[in-house]
Amino acid sequence: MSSEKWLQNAEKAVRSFAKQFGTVYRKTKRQVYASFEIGCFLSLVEFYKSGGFAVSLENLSTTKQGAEFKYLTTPSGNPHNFSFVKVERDARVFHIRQQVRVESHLNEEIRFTPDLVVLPENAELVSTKHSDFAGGKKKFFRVDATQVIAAHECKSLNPFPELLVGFLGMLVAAHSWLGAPNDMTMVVHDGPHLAPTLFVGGTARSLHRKMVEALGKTYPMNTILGLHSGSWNLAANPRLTRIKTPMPSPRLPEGGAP
Amino acid sequence: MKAILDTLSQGLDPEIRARLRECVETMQRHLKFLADSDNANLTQLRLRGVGNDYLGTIFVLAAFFHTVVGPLSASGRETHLDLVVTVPILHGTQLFDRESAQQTRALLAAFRALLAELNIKPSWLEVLHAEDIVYRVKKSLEPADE
Repeated sequence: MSSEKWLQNAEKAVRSFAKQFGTVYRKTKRQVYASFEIGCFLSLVEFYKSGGFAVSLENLSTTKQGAEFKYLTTPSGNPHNFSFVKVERDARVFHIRQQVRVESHLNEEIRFTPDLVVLPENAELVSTKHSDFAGGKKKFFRVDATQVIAAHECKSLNPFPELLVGFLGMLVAAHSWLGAPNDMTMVVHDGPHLAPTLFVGGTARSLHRKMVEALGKTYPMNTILGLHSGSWNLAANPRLTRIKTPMPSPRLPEGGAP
Repeated sequence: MKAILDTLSQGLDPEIRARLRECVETMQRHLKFLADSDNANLTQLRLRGVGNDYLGTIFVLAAFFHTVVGPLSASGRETHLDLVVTVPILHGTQLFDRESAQQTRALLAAFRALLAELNIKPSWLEVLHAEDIVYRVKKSLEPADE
């Protein structure tokens, strides 16, 4: 087939595809990114389920059609009014939440909002009025970094060095259990939790893949690449770094935690 | 190739469209650089009759996959969870439920069918860099004993 003929056929096939699926893929930027973030969220919940955790959906809202998981999309929202996932194993309970603001243990003025965060059941979601936030009229919700087991970030991008190294800021500022930036004491082969993870949609070139490997060897973190191409099964990936629960169980004496 | 880019860009969110076009333009610039620097893989592709239209179309579809189809299909994949299928997720005003999941799965399937129709391997679209795509296409077209 000539190049010209091939191109004509290709144009026709693409027009047909666009006509049939345009309404499915013509979404706002917010909707596209939300879809990717939800994919990461599902993947994280599946990770816990595959690890033998009982998974339950909490604080669901009720509609005429049935129960709905109300996803917190902004740190301005009251987390108590939104749904979250509870995972439980060996009498230890953890919550997986979205868009909860973290206040760093390094300095209380350092606050930011990871896409996903794993907290112990008893983590306190603090709400106070803050003069620098909404003129002190709205409550300012946050969780202290001392309560954070793992903060995860989702980027539907192709990885680039600044994105990869930028995650280190969150790693350091959101995890008080990190004694030093490259402290590996929480890392255990069969740990119940996924180490703080940067979920990335795109794949990397070899130079950046080496950087990802180096970051994983240097810090207790994961960078998962190529999610657009389908590498969603976290539990089946033996290369992912896992961590133990950094804080003692509130239900068990210290040292008795799994 | 421009017509394909125009068709797929039509109706997209302005920022998504700009990102799609920027991806394609960057790859086109790299392709020109590869041509100017007599890249061996590109030269071999040319000798096999692979032209700019073919490569340009792959660039457009790769960029479209990474900016649109990939992220959208993330929420629709099948899981062993109740979320989405039994318990819909309400994200702002957008509902992620069984129906939306089916739609995005159908979108992904149709996109893969489109690639098959055009003799484009999905693995070529996993990368978003002209040199990597050229390399993958060249490797795929090599006889097995080469």
